Amino acid sequence: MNRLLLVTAASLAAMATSMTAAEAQTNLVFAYWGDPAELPPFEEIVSTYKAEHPDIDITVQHAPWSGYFTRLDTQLAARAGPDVFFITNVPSYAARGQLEALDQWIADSGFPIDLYNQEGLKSHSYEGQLYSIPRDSAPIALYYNSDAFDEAGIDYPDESWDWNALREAALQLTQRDGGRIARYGLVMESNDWPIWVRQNGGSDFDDSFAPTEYLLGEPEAVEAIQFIGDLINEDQVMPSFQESAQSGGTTQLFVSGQAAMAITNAARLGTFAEAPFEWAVAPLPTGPDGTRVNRIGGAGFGMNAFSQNKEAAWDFLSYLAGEEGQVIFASAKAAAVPAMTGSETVREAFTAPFAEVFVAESEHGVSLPQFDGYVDVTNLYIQPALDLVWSGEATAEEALTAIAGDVNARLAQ
Amino acid sequence: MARAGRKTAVEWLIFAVLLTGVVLTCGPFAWMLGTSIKPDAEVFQFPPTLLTGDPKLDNYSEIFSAIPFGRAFLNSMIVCIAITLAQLIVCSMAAYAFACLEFRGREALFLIYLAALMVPPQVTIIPNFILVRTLGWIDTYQGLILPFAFSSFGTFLLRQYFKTIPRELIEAARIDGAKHWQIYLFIVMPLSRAALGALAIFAFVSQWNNFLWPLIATTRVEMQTVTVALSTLQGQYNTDWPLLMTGSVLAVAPVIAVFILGNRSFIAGLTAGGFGGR
Repeated sequence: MNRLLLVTAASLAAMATSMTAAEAQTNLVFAYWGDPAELPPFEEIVSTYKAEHPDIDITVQHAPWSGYFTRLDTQLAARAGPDVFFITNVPSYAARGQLEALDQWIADSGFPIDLYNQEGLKSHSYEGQLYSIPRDSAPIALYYNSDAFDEAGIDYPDESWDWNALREAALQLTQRDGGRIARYGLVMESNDWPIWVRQNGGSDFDDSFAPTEYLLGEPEAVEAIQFIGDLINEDQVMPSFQESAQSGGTTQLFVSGQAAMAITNAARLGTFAEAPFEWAVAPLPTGPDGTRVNRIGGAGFGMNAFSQNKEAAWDFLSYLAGEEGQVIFASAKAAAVPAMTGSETVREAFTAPFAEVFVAESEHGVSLPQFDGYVDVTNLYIQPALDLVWSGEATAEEALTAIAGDVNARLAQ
Repeated sequence: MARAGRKTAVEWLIFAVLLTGVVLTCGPFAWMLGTSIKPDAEVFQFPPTLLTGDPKLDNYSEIFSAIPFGRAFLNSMIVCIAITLAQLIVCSMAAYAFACLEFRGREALFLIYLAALMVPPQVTIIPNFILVRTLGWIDTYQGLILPFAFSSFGTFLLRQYFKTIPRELIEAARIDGAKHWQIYLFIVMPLSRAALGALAIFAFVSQWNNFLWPLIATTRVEMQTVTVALSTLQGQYNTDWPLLMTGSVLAVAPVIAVFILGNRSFIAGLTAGGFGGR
């Protein structure tokens, strides 16, 4: 009987010690999305960090882009969810109080936030506070099929190209087969039109973060939208966005040789590597008067406002989003254009093909609108108006001026 | 003669209409099957090809290394079979109560029960998530199975069917001294095989296709179901269509098998239950 008691006591004691050992270890949950090719840098950062911090255990939650936000939104609504997560569309999460403001953490730890692309930080902020640290800028550039250019006997695109040069080349590169277009000259993403408006000296709103006035009805904006509409309907050198989506999007059209030029981001470098022809990347063409504008944004890393381990979460976050993480992301096979361009080490680590083109483009980046109600305004008014232009049912002037009253009324709410 | 000739013409017309339906229904399946063995560049080729001249079958082995497809398939099987069995038991017992027991407020209770049919599943996602998380059931089979262990549709279907069983049979059994559990088990259930089969197919197929809940209730790769695992092949910028279609071909196989096995009772059960529109 005594022996039994002793054994029980001993095993209880053993359990107690193992429990304290377990308690000393902090558990962090880190969530991210990514295509299979994009995952290695995330995994490398987690394992390197864990090796350096044996007291911290990190559980990773990966979801594909299509399901990531569904799961994250549910978890955050239940005041649960990962401690640190990959995030985009920051203001809407910050407005719901689900993201931890990072300014104090940055100030206390001396995190080198000055080394980041400052324009890029804007889309990661809400009401003057920074809520996530950007991983990448997502500038776009002009990919071109060199073989198609050689065949047509045209010079390759360079930094001197403006809209007209682009249009001329697209006209010459388009191959028509009766009524059908066998190869388009150009293909672009459906959501890059705001860049064109800015290259022409226009804008969508007077302020991207606190808009009071709608400006797409102004002549500069109308002209830019009409230019894109004409590429689709008048010149027929570019597929409509709907047709493009049905054919597998920019990626498929370019890789399968059904489009000779594609304007899209650096994430395509990996897929295009498999294309059965020679291709290269040129800077984005400038507006008619030489204005260079590109997009910036990209995703970043934020901290859960409901996290139980904020100290540890910040430590991991500052590693992940800081120089160590940036170097790993920049040197990965599926590289992202780094956000921390002020760091020599990071810039040197970014050796992807055409890296210099993308870094240079990211310097011209401007933040696109992000404010409460932006999604509403877009879905209710702007997108339907644009669709009329893309389908050729209305001119840009008709479509974009018609909604001015409605949009301004919505902004005034 | 003339009459017989016209009848043939009408038959031909019906045949043509049905054939159009067959083509429309089978077209996507044919495309899926064809795409699963196509080289990447041929997927969106114009004019489209149904079958490639250069078939590559490697996808059928690659799918198991690209994603943990085998494990996901097993998870889906476990979850769907468990949910199907659970619904058969829970729904038939509830339906027995609503159809064969007399108690106060029965009709009112049934109406409330039916009202659950009107609640879109998206609305219950967050409360369900909070509940399952509080129980510590994230990444567990019970977390995937139990939220679907009951179904008001299933209860309704079975209740309607149970009501068609002649009362005389049940009363005769009671006179012979049968208890409720005996009537349920030895009289009502064996007579309702068609409706139970229909419910089984319906439950299995709808759970096999369920994406939202398995996505939210699992965070570990090992607990993913087929739908969630396949979605990882569809990226933000790039989708490997041939591989995705390969996975889809393998994923629909059990559904087709279940449907062929239970086809007769599925159709009989749906028409008998008076729920043909669903």
